[in-house]
Amino acid sequence: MLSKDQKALLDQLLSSTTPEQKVWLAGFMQGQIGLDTDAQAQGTADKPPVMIYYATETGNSKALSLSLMKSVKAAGFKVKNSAVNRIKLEDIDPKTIAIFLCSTHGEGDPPETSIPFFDRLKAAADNSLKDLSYAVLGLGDSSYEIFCGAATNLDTQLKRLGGEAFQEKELFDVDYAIYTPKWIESTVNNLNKLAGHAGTAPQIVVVTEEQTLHTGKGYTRLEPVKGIIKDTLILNDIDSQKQTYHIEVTYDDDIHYSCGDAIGIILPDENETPRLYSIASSPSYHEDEIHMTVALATYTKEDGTIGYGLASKYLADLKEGDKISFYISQNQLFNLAPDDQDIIMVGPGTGIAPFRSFIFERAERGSEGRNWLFFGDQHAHCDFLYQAEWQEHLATEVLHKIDLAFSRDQDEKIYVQDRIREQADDVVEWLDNGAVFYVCGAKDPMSKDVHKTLVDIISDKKSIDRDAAEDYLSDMEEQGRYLRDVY
Amino acid sequence: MSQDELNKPENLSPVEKMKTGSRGLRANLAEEMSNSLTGNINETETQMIKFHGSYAQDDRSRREERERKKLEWAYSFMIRLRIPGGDITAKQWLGLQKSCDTHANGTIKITTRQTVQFHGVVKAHMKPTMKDFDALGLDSIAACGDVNRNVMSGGNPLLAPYHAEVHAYADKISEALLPKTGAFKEIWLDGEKLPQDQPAEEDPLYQDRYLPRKFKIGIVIPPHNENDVFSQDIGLIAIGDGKTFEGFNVAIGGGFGATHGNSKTYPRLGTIIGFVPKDKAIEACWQIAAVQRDYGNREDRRQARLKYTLDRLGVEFFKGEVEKRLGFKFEEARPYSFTHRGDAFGWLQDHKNKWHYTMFVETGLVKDLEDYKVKTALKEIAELDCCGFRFTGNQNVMLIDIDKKNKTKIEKILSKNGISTDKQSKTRQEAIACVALPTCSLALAEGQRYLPEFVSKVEALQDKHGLSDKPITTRITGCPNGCGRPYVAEIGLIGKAPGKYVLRLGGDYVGKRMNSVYREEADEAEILEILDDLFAKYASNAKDGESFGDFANELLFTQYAI
Repeated sequence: MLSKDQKALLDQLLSSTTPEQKVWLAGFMQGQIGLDTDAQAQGTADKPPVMIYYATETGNSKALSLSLMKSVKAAGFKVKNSAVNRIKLEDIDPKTIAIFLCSTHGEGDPPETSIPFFDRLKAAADNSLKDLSYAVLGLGDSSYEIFCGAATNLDTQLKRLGGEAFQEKELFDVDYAIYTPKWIESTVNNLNKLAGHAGTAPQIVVVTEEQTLHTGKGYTRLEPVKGIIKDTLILNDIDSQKQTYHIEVTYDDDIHYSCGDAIGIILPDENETPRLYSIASSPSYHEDEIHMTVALATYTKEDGTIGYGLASKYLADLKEGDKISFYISQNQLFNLAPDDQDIIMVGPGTGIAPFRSFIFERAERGSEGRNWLFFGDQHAHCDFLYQAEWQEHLATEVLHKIDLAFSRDQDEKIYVQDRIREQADDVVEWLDNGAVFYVCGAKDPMSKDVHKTLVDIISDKKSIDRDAAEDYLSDMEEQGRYLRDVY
Repeated sequence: MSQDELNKPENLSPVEKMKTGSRGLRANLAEEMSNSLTGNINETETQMIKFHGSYAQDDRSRREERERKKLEWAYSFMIRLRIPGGDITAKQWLGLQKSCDTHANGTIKITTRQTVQFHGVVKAHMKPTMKDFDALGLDSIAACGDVNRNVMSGGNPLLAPYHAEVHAYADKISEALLPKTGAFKEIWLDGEKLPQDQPAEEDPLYQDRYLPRKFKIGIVIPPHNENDVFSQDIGLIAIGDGKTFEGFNVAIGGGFGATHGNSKTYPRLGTIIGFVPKDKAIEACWQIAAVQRDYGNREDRRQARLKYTLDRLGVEFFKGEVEKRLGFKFEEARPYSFTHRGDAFGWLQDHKNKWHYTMFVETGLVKDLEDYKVKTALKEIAELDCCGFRFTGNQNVMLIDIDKKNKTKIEKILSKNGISTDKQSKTRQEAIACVALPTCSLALAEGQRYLPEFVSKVEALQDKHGLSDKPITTRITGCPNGCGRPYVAEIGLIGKAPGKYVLRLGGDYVGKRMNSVYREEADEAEILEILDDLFAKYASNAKDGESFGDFANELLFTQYAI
């Protein structure tokens, strides 16, 4: 199998490696094999991106969109999904291929949450989606008088707007699950045919590993740029003791950030030092947007009234359309690992922010490395920050493992370090395999407790003393595999 | 299809496989309940948790808001208790209120089957709630699922000296037909785990497949039919000579679930198959359930209730099979008559001089309105610890076995909290609605949230036509499943789409005749217009003592040969 020269090189290499290095090499070679086959199978470069839009009442269309997404992705297409209620007509790019999964509610009506979208479609001018290649799948219940009315209506509107169906509209009854596998198969076949004849080459975002340090306007506190609040909302729900804001900022300046960077907020009182927040968005996925995850800090004043943290209160009070002054604070010490490397992320509370960025980025890039998240907060039902996104990342196999610690959902408090301890075997195996270990969030006590737990489990699983375990972690730190962004 | 061709392994419904594969209703419930990734559970566990008295639900009105918060839907659980005959102690009531405030949404719902349920229990609170129940000597075993559900028993203690003796049968039947699995203790109460290599507990009645579908048993003592005895899979009509209790007339095959647009599904009233002496009644119930277990349709869940088995095989065949297994025959049914279905509101004194008070609880929701504070009143009364609590099949509560010396104390609490039985019209007092939106996943239209408003509009029409003192049974359910028994109402509304209902009219006043479809789909304005017209005709043309239901039936649905 090997040439004489190759064999000699290999022998030479093997004779000088330690057993540990051999183990690492085995893993490395495995990764290389994966890389080559993936590259063959995919070739996303010459295929148009596919968007799957769903209009769902009970979640069936949404669940179906996930299955379809997997198959389309496996066929080598870039693919995203979205609920129609989250998009405007202008968000539909006629260069993409659009697949609509549409449920019907009651007497031929669209699902309640998607009514505004249908209204917008109806109001749009003829040919405003000219040349859009699309397909429609309707789900309905034939015991109602108007079967799949919403899907039929959608198809009519798309035609009027200049769209071209690349396959016949299909309408399925309540037993749709029997027919969908076949439909997905034929849809993927049709997509492949379509890609073969696609006239315009789609734009491909090339993601490179190199990270250059930017300088100048937008990158220091002295030269901030203007941002506009695009959206703001509280991620926590009823019953929560917390107010964690998700804030989205758009900007016109030509600035760039990387995963792991922070956004520096200039406060209205310019004597105040700017505050840094880990960026929660992915530069590739959330184009031209910066997202923040901000906990509103509260404290009890001497007179018993509630006081708020200056910066977090300022951000919490921002409304859509407000302007802010900010800059990118680059963080060379908290970079996203190369695509083929496994990563373990520990980010309780707002410590989750950079990992949201990481995972969207890795999803967009199609990174091969495995991703494992440890998250914790007070209550699962009201404090699970970005829950629906993590569920979707698990369903699409972008996220491989998730372990959760909700401290107040049982009598005894459980924290992320307790979950790490429970998973000791796997954690140590991932680390031995070259995984990068990230921690983001409170320095004290969280990051210290996590560190202590790591020392415990490494010394325990490798039967070495605590000093040797500390050395193991120091080595990781030197190799850039133990990264902390704690505050 | 012949019985031999039915239920071939390859044709069984998916739920059947879940049951037999569940190792005594365990499935992966323990693991699923500790998975905090989602507040929901998987499909198999969704089916199995019903047998534990719980449904996984989501607040449908909050879906959009939750999606915007990047959270999954607001999943939570409904837990329904098993309270045969509807009786609990004052201490138990206090414990339930406390538990509901701590773990659920704070509003206990009295159901149409004499029990209560909690809504909005999130996953992490499920075990603590179940442990609360256990500490109170209560449980939720078999309150839902393909098993014998909560056994009902008529509540009015006035009418027969043998009321207590009959009432006790609810508990005895419930115990005899309880699943034998230890899964409940294991999953909810940290009981010992059944080792993976050991088979589940033997269960002579349910075996490993349970019943094909839900199964309901209810007892009434004539002349009261407050539990709609003909709506039950087994309806037991207590027969005695006024002093001594002798046994039951047995009606089988009642059931109301139907599906819009599926003509193979329909509501059906129970058929009386004979009389059984009291000492053989439990055995008879057990064997009827066992024959249904063996002959029921396990392929199509919409054809699985006992009513369809009876109509497929014939009542005589089914009865014969039960008699063969019992080793005796049913006697000829004894005469009886019904006069009432609603509760006897207010104070009653029984033959032992004990006092009882029936409180009106609109749609069964135990909450405080500004001028009608049910929740506070019940709490304060329970704190006195001088009476028992009995839930009625009409979603109300009776305070029972009160000594004369305590009556005044209770009256004070009632009056302080605005509780009275003179405030509502008779129509309102007898009205029933199911939960429906926003938590019931089957609901197509509003139920309990709409009933108070709808009744007010019916009352206005009754006033207009001088019919204010006539009780007219009005029932609303959010779907054709029929939890609120709308098929035996004089005015029955069955949800079809938001704001739209099937209008059924012409049921009789005591629940012996089903109503008929008058409009397949109507909104409120159309319904009120129809009622306005009918009330006018009823006011001027009704015979003496003729109920609205009888009048409407005669006018709208009776055809005469010429």
